[in-house]
Parts: sequence; structure tokens; C-alpha cells
Amino acid sequence: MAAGDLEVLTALDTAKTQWYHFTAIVVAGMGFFTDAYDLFCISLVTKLLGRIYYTVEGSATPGTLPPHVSASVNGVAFVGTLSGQLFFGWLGDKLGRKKVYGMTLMLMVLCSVASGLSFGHTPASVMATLCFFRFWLGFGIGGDYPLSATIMSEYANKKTRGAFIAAVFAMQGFGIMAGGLVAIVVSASFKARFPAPAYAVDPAGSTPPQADFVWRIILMLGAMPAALTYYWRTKMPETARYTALVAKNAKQAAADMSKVLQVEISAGAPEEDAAAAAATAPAPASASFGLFSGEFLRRHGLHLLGTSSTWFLLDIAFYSQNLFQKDIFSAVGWIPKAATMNALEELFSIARAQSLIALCGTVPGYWFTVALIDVLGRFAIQVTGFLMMTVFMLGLAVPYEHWTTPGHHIGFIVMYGLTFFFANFGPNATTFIVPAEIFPARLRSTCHGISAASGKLGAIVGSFGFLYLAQNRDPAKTDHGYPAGIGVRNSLFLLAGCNLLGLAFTFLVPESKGKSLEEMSGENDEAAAAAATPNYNNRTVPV
Amino acid sequence: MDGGDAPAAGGGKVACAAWIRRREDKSAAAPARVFAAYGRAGAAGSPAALEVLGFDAKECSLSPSPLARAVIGDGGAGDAPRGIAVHPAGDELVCATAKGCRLFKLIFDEFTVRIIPRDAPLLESVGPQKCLAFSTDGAKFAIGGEDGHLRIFHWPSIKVLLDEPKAHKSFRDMDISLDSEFLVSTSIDGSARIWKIDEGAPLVNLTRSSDEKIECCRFSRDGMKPFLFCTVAKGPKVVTVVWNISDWERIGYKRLLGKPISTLSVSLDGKYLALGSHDGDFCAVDVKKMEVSHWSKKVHLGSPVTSIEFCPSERVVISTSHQWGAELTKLNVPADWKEWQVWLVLLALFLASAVLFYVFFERSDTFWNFPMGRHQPAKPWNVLKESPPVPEDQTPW
Repeated sequence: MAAGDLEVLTALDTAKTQWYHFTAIVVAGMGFFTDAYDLFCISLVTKLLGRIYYTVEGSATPGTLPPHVSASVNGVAFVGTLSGQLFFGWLGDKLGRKKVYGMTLMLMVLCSVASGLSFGHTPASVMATLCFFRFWLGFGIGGDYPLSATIMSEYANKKTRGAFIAAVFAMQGFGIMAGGLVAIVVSASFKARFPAPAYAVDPAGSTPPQADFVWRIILMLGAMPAALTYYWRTKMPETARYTALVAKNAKQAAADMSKVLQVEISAGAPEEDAAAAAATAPAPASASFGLFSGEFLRRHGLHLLGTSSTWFLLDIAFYSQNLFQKDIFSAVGWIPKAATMNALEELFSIARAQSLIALCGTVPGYWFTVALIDVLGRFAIQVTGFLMMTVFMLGLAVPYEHWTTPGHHIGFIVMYGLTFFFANFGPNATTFIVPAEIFPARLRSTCHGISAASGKLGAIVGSFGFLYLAQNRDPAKTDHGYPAGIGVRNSLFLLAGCNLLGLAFTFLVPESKGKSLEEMSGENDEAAAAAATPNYNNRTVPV
Repeated sequence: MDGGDAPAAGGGKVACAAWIRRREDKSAAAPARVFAAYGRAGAAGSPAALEVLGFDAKECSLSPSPLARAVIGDGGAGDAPRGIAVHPAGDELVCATAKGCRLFKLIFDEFTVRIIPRDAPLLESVGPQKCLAFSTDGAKFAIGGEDGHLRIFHWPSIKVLLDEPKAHKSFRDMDISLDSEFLVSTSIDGSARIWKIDEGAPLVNLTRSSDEKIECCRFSRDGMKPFLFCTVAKGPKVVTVVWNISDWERIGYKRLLGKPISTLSVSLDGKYLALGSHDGDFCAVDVKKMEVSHWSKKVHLGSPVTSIEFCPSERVVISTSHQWGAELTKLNVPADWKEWQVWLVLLALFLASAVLFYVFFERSDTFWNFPMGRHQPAKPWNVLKESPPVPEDQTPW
């Protein structure tokens, strides 16, 4: 992190306010950091929850969450995110976004702590209360995310916007890594303090009673970055900006204002007024078509289909991989068989594996995209990303039996990490940026919202669907309570198919590199930065 | 409406007024305290003075007697106040007089307020000023003189950023943009100019036809509306014109008050404009719809409204005129959402979802048993107990 900070700091042009800018980066990015931590730390603890609450007496394998519980625990936060976006988006218009910001952060703090305090005397009631508070945590995240983007655009000045936004986006990768790091530290500490035998040796003793604290601590620590964000936010000076200018929405704002004013067209005006009248004359023509008109369908229908479908297909693969990495690692033997470990050892192995993937794949992908997006262009990055994801997934799935034999874990890990690398140096970034660039100003936020909603739907499909599909085809070998699935190998084939389909739909989206948003000439950095900060932003984990 | 000319206070008529929003550094979360500052003209037996009055938000009224009072200058006729500008931090204010500008330090204790004059030689020698403005971030201060001299200072060092003796024939109005990047100034001859503050240079003249006079000007204070509002007189007709500050092109115009306009003001959150007329009316305009949402008639009967100031925390304004002094008016506009109301909505949603979760939880066994029931025969108890050793090449699940 230190090297990244120095690199960003040197990019900032005013040496006198270097510390101020660094603080601004942390404050602006902490929202994304918190979102990533809270949304993904649940995947680290689901195995532990299964062992603690759903042990089957006499079973050869440790307990696992029943399918409906596992799906709910993993996916309920995304449902909350969708609801929160709608609610706080409406509220932001009423109250102003600055006021709402404090509310979303407070909601995140309270529900993070409450998640760890889930109560009840039966496993079902513990899981129900956990799902309840996870829903409201997602609700707060849904409100926090677009507001973090707004705060970010307000603190970015023209000269350093590119580097600033890159640093802010990188906070998401750090949030994912922080989740893994916290899980490693907590599980290692409890393992050293409360030794326990492996499940195969002593099923009852392999899950010490103190394991119940581990998952609660990991979830509750998600409140800390949110609280810090709130504290720092109040300490930051009020920086007044025309956010419409920074976010390149001035044209939209002017269009909205012109609807409530009379636009003067004077025939006998002097030269300047005549030029102004001529400039405004085409506006009514281009402003005439709405979202559900033939004109829009003719001009932008395929574009909207392209942006929505690619985002949807990406998030099926991206979220299923993020949430169920541990199942894949167990299937190929990188994480030892559950029966050979105690509960805390299993958590430690999962956290270590996921952190390694994030460190080598996810985080570098962010930085590569920021560095190259205006060199290669969005189209090339998205095509390359989808293509590479397809290739590497097929590389995992086709010789699947080969990877599962001892001695081939390293190759599997490398291939799997590269899948994440090209997700982030690829469609995960471009599906976020492109909808903010190719649609007319008046409809941009709506089209971006539609595309983002498709992505969210893909996330829900991915998080709920993969859980069932990845089960073994032999009913006797599935986890308790699961129907037979198609197996990990065939699930990987299916995800590769999603990526291939995303590659095909990419050709519906035009290249926007080098074309300025408002037909203004500007620097490349400014164009990239402007593209990266649309005002209306529904994604939870973009670049 | 409470009159500012309470006889008990004594002294002359209120010539100018401004709101003071006091931000406490110790606890940023605490609500800001709001006060009003009056510049009172001299009268027989009492010199020109500056007063600070307390503001009661619940009753929307000002305290009957000032919390603090300070004499302006030497008490001569040349010290009559003409305008007040309060620093956004609420700890300093500048008062314009015929001789120049006076700087005052405001000190707020738990129960008392003190006004302490400060020496500012650069400000005191500038002569009569018609316009005063602090930037939103408090780092810039601009004054426009009766002689058309424009000065912009860095604050608090009071270092000169721009010194243009012949900016205009004489100043009509002036404002600094929300991001402190531009300054707009209008002249009594109807011209308007945009200045780049950091570069200390004019940027563009606003376009107008020969029979148009640009009079009052204010930048928008809504970050999502990068506009400049101006009142433009075209013969006897006066309209409000909106400029886009991206390209300084007109977006459109609207006739709002229907009378000659003497002053224009914008609320701190940017949601309302206020227009004052020459015959004593004023109205509040909803910026989103550009429609009049409040109209006060004859507040300053027969006298031009010289200034309208929006309260930082409530929908209340202070308007002033030469003949009637200061008037406090509560605006009849839709009430803003209060923060506690939003928390109440959130709490209601929270409890409703709690009920839904509980109902689902109670019925979840019936719902989820359906898929499990179908597969239950596949895993009888005794099979699990006697399961054979798992081969290494097969996954346990």
C-alpha cells in the first residue's frame, strides 16, 4: 500500500496540500473499501457457520449450511443493495446527498455490529436474524455507493482527477483483501489459543465453542471502516463544487433547466444572438425522443442491449466466483478435505487462499485498467477480458481431472487468479464505464441505471445459482440437504459459456475512446476520469 | 413579521442586514447557531452602529434587543453602513461605509457575543463600495466600488488578488461562484462580465442585445445546477435569464415577478431565488420549477427592496429597504424534510421488514421442506452411518 500511496501522492500537483489530498483519497475511497469488505466477508465464514450450527451426528463430513440458508446468507445483501439504491436515490433528491450520506454510513455501522450479534436459540433463528441484518447492511451499502462516487467527484480537481480516481477505485480491492486478512488473523489467533483436533479424529471436538465468536468478530469489524468514514467525513472541510461539471452532467442539468424556462428564438437578432438561436434550434429536435420511442430504439437500442447483457453476464461469473471460491478450492484439493481439518483451520485456509487470489489477480487488474484504458480503448479491454476469462475457465474445466490430482495445485491457482485478473482488467471495469459514455446526456443516467440493474440481477443469479449447480452429480456425495447438481467441472463450463456470450454481446457496444462526452476537446486523462465518474452509479463493485 | 426598529433599542434605521451561521469547531455534528447582524444608520444622539441579534428558530423571530453592539468608525456621517458581508465561518464580518470597509471580529461565548473592531488598512481606504461578497469557502473576498473599482482579496491574509480600477462605470451587482472559480459583476450601464478569480483577469462578457440591461446576478448554489441567474431589463419588461457556466450561453428566460426588480438573492442550499421589486414586494422562486412559490406584497411599501438574505437553517428571510429598515419574513413554501422524519421512515421500513422476516422464518420449514422431501429417501440414516471409505479421486461432497 505504501508504494501505491507514494505513486498517487507524486501525481498530485500541489505539494503544499499533499497530506490534505491523501486524506481526501482515503475518505473518498473508504466508502468503496467498506462496501467491498462488507459484501464479501460473508463468503469467508459460511463454511464455519455450517460447522457450528448444522452438524449432522455421525456424518463422515462436517456440517454445511442447507441450500436455502446458504443462498439466503450469501445473497440477501444484494437484495438489500438494490432496495437501498432506490430508496436513498429518491431521498437524495429530497434532502440533498450530503445529509443522506451520514444516514447510510450510520446504517452500515449499526447493521454490521448487529450482524455479529445475531441471536436465537435454534440454528434457523440465528440464520434468520443474520439475514435480516445483512439485508439492512446491503440497504445502507446501496445508499452509500453512489454517494461515495459523488463525494469522490467533488474532491477530484482537474489536474489530478485520473490518479485520484484510480486510487479511490483501488480501495475496493483493498477492501476485499482486508476481509481476508481479518479472517486470517482472527482464525489464527483463535486456533493458537483454543487448539482442536481434526474432524476425522474427533467430530465433536473439532469445532470448539469459541468458534462462534470468530464469525461474529469478522462481521462486526465491518463496522469499523464505516465508522471511520463517518468520522473523517465530518472532519473534512466542506468543498463546494459544481458536481455537474466535474461529473460531466452539465448538459443534462441545462436540459432540465430549459424545460422550465422559455427559450428565446429571435429572428431579427444580431449576429451573436442569431448564432445562439441557431445553436439552440437543433436542441428541440434531439431532445424530442424519449426512452421508449422508436428513435431511441433505432439509435441506441442495440447499445443498451449490449451494455445490459454484458454487465449481466459478467456479474453471473464474477459474483459466483467471488462467493464460492472456497468450494472450487476444496474441489481441486488446494484446500484440504474438510474432514482433515478443524473448524478454525478450515477458515484460515479459505481466507488465505482468497486473499492470495485477490492480491495477485483482482487488485493488479484494477491498476492495469486505469493505466491502459485510454491506450487500448474500452472495446479492446472488454473483448480481451471476456476472451481471456473464457480461455482460462476452459483451461480449468477441460482438464479438470488433471488439476485435482496431487502436485498440480500451483497451475490451477495461477489459471484461476488470471481469471480474476482479466475480469478486472476487462469487463468488470468497462461495463461500468461504457454506459456512462455512449448514451445521450438526457438518458445517460437512466440507461446506466438499467445496465447496472442488469448487473445486479446477474449478481443475484450468480450467487444463488452456482450454489446448486456446483454440487456433485451423485446425490450421495452432495452436501447435506442439497439436490444433485452438475458438478464443479460442468459449472465452470457454464461460466465459460457466460463469458463467451458476453464476448459476443460486446460487439453491440461502440468504442468510445477518444470521443469526448460533451463534444468538448479535452485531455485524455480528463476524458478517462470524466468517464469513470458518472453521477448515477448503481454498481457495488466496479473498477 | 417582527420589525427591526424596536423603539427600545434606539438608534437609526437598519440600513443593511446579514445572517451569521456559527459553526462550532469542537463538535462538528452539533447544529450551527444562527444570528443576525444589523447595520444601523446614525441618528440624532446615536452614532452608526453594528448589532448582533439572536435568532429563535422555533418562533422564527429575532431577539428584541441586540446581544452585542459596536460603533462604526468615529461616529461621523461618513460611517453610515451600506452593506455587510459575513465570512462563511461566522467569525468575521465586513461592513461597507462611505469612507471604506470596516472589519469586525465576532466572538461567541456560551451566553455572550462580542464585536471587536479590527484594523485593516487596505480595506479602510477603498472609498464607498456597493457590493461585498465572500466566496463559499471563505478564502476570497471581493468588493465592487461606486467608482467601478473591483478588488479581490485573499482571505484571511487580505492580500490583493485582483485590482482593477476601471472594471465598470459603477457596480450594480456582484457574486462569486460556488466553487470560487468565477466572479460575475454587472454595471449600471447594463453590461455584465465574468472574471477568473485565480488568474485575476476578465474571462468573458455576457452577450446581450443593445436594448437589454443585465442588472442583478447570482450564481447557483446547487452543485447539480451549474448556472448563473441574472435579471435582465428590456425596456419596461424584466425577465430572469439563466446562463450555463460551462459555455456562458443562455439556457432560457422567464418572467417571474412581473415588475422592475431591485435585488436578487439565492438560498444557501440553492433551492430558492428571491426577487425584490422597486415598489416593496418580494417573492421566492423554486429553482427546480422556476415558479413563484411565495409572494410578499408591500413589505416595504413604496420603497425599493435593497437586499434579501436567506436564513441558513430556516425558510426565513430578512429584507431591507432605505425607508422601512429590516423586515423578517417567514416564507410560505413547502417544508423541507427534516432529518428525524427520514429516520422515522427508515425505522418504519426496518420494523416492517422485521415482521416480514419473522413471518417467513415461521413458515420457512414448510416452504423449504418441499425440495428436501423429494430427496430425503436418497439419504437414509443408516446409509450415512455405514458409508464406505471415500476414494481419493472422488470429492467428498
